[in-house]
Amino acid sequence: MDFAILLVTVLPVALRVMVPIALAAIGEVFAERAGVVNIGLEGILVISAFFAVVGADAFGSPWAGLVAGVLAGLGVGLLHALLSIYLKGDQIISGVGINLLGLGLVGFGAVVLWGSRSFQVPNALWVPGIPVPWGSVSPLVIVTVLAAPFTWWLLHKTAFGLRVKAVGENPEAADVVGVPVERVRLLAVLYGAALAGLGGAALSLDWTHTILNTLPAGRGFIALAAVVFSKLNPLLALFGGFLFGYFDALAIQLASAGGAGEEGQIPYQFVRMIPYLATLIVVAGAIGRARFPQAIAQPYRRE
Amino acid sequence: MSARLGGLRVLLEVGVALLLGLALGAVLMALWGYDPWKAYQALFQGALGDRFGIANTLSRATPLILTGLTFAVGVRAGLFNIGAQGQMILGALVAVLIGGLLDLPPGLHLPVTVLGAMLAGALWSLPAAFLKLTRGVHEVISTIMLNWIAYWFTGYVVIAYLSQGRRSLQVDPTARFPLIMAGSDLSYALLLSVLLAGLVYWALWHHVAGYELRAAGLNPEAARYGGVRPNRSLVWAFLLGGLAAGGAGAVEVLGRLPFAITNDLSNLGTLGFDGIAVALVGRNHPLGILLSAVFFGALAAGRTMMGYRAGVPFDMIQIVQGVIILAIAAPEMWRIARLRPRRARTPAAAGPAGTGTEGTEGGEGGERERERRQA
Amino acid sequence: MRSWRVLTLGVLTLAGLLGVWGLDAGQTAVGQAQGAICLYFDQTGPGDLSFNDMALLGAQRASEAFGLELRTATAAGEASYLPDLQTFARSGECLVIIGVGFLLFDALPEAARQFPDQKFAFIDGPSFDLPNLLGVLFREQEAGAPVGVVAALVALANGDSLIGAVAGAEIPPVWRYEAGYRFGAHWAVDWYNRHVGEGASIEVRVPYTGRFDDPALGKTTAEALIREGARNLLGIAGGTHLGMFDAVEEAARAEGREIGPPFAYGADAAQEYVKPGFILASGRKRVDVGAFEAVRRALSGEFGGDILLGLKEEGTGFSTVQDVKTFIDLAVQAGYPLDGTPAEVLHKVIQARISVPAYVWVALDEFQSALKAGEITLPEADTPEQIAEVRERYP
Repeated sequence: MDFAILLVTVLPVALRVMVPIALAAIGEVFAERAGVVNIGLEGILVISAFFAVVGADAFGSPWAGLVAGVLAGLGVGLLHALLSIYLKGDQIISGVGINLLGLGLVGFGAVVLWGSRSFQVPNALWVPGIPVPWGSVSPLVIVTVLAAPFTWWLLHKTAFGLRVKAVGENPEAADVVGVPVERVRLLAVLYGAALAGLGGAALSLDWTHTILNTLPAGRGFIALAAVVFSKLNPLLALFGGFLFGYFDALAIQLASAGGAGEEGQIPYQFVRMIPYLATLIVVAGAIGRARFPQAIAQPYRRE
Repeated sequence: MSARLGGLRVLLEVGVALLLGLALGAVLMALWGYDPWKAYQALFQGALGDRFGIANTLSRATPLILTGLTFAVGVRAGLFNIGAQGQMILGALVAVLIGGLLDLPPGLHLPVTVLGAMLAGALWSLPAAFLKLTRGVHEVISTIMLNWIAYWFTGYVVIAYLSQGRRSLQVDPTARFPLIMAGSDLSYALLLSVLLAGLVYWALWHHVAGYELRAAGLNPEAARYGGVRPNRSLVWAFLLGGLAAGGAGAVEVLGRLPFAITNDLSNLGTLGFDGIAVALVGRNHPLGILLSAVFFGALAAGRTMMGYRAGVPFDMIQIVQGVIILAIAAPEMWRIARLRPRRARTPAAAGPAGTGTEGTEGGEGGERERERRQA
Repeated sequence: MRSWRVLTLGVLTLAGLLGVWGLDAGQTAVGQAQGAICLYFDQTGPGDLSFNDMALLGAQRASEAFGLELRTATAAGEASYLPDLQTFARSGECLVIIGVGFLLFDALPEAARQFPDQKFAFIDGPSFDLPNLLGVLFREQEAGAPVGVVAALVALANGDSLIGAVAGAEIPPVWRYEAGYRFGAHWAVDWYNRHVGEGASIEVRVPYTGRFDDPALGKTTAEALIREGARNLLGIAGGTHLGMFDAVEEAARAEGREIGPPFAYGADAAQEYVKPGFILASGRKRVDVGAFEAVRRALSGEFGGDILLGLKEEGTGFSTVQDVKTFIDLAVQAGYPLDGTPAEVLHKVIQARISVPAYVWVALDEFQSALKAGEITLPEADTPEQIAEVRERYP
């Protein structure tokens, strides 16, 4: 395949790879602006992917599944918020716990519900694509692309966004002027978790039509990298997710273009490094220093 | 005084959280018809029930201590260094290369191999340090990416040059850690881990460079004002962490079967990531990490027995462990009854103290004072 | 730092107390007359409706047939292999400890050496010439090769010159599938040129994903293969190739088809029921036979050595309609929601098989009889050198 054509053909794939990573990253950007880190994105992705399938299965509709995914994300977000905001717990440990919980919960739940660790969603429950001249585009791609500017707007153009940034930068001062620090943080975490939940639902109902307890396979961590990449700008988080998706899709296409171990072929392991190397190079070359809110990862205690 | 109180408080908090986690796990298991009493009995029996169980627990703790140190040193220097995974993988690769390909006399082979692996880990931490210093690249991005690059690179070397079927060639017996106890796989690798933990403790609390490192971590600007060079401290933190992570790779390869790296690196698991939780539960303190690693080691060691003796499925065990860790995340879980604490300032919780990750840092206030005088 | 000393002391005391309690539990549990069947999974455990569940099924059958207790456990990571096996052996409760999964390659022989009076069996691995270890090996080539024959002929019938596979990590069982698949495809081209057309050729592309747990990666890889023109794809990547199944169904539906092409092919279990109509067939591995046999031999006294299960022993091979039925039943029993009634699913699987030219099945028969008769020797693929050679000979 001609390389120039290749660069274009992988675009639709890249968009699909982008969706869960970008949604989780955009949401996490918002939560981190409020000073709450959640490294449990991987766990949220898999739990919401699971409940999305459960919801779609129960109500016979992919849309119900997406709603269930968002609700599951909210549930995990609430747990994280409860532990880290109200109980002043360690956000990172909580995130680690959520990741472990996700693996177990989905593995166990799948066997209980479907008698199997994995389940493939029947065609009737797939999220239908929107027809375009070159095939079809998933509505979730559109939602993802819109979520970034919306989050940006929410963060920079609304009173709520101002409060979010205030509790992230200086919760004491925010408290003094009457901002309910804990409630604002809770809402920010919930917003982030809801987006990650939608990302998880996209992963199972829209992209792979499969549920398995390892479904995110590290994409939650890539989303964390995208968050840092974005310097907490939702628009850049979207771009970061896309960039990674693009290089990932490109690398897989290149690795599949030749067989393993054939003469003159670049070993597939090196091809698979491309997205990671490319991300590093882009970040080193163009992005530069990230700045985080002053009060990040610290619970707020009213003295 | 505050340090002592801090330690006791940590013990109390973690203890109560642990009990809560176990209780929640028990409820979950009971809900699905498994006998929680039997399950926990099996867990403890497997982990601590006899000398073999204890050996297994300590053996599982051995690499966790090291990757825990990596993360903790990073936190002390103000870094979120999650590169232990990649550094551990490269350490393991170098351990296989030196331990399996080089012919060295017994007595020399093992230390050289361990040292080589540790240096490999340290070397792989340098790109992250370099990118941070020169380009301002945040270590979360660089280390996640470097982890994957190390993963694919090592996978390539193992399959293309070292593979003997399902795994790489094995390291020579002269490069393996001798066993502490026959019939178990507890080896003297444990000694390496404990020594390194001691070394990190000494370096961080009894050496100027360590003091500077922690000062830079707490407040780089103030530290700079006080004559500390934060950049140098940062490089030290990466290097020290890399050494420990590389050591974890060595411990895994030289300390137990298969004495090699499997083709898909599966025997190295996620030791690097597991270290994050170990460090945080251990409050990023080397001694705390020793205890916390033993705790996680016990969970890993006793886990199989929950299935074997109590018939609890693998995934349910994972859920219970997740619940336990979540409970530990919020050591003040027992305050759940009053969500809006309006308590007076107590000395133990004063200032920046007692806030999550920084739990012991505040407690060290007095200690820091002492050290400054020493320095 | 006195606080840490206090802390350490406290923890050790607690550990000691709990230890005594646990020890108590260990002792009360001993005391089985004949011993139990102890099934030890190398990873994830039952619930895969494939390799592990098959082993469990075989052990369950043996448990009922011989009136033995069945115990199962799943490893918590590779570091626990040897300690776990040692614990089982030390407990003296197991008639036979059956290790399920290739990853136990180093730990099982080591444990068998340390406990010469304990019987061990290794599903998916050799006996290492140990008298107390029974090796149960499968000739995956003989499962991959018939699939290669069918995949290549279906591809040629549809005018494709490329077939593919989505592979997991590079380990010998996967290599053996790949070797068989490649060989079968090239045998089929020769057959096609002799009986149907002329000048046909097939290229086989087998990208390795390096993972068994990433369906999204499997889907992206399969999509890349489909874009390259491969419309017959074998999955040898466990959970990863579930994504390949999905890619195949999606590609077929995009062309408005309820039945392929493109077609997917499963591995280990008869996976046709997962996506009836789109999964044409599977390479089969009768792990249940191996597990049952291990228990039978442990009881009969003749132990040790290797059982090699291939096409002739019906241990590996091409999934028959009966196999498909067996797995539909298994899925129904487990509570897996089939896409339709069992009869409908079976009907669709058969429809798919009818939809390809009849000569495909003639060729398959010919190939399988020749294989059983020993007229065809499949290439070995136990080392990187061997699989490299196979890739060169059968591109």
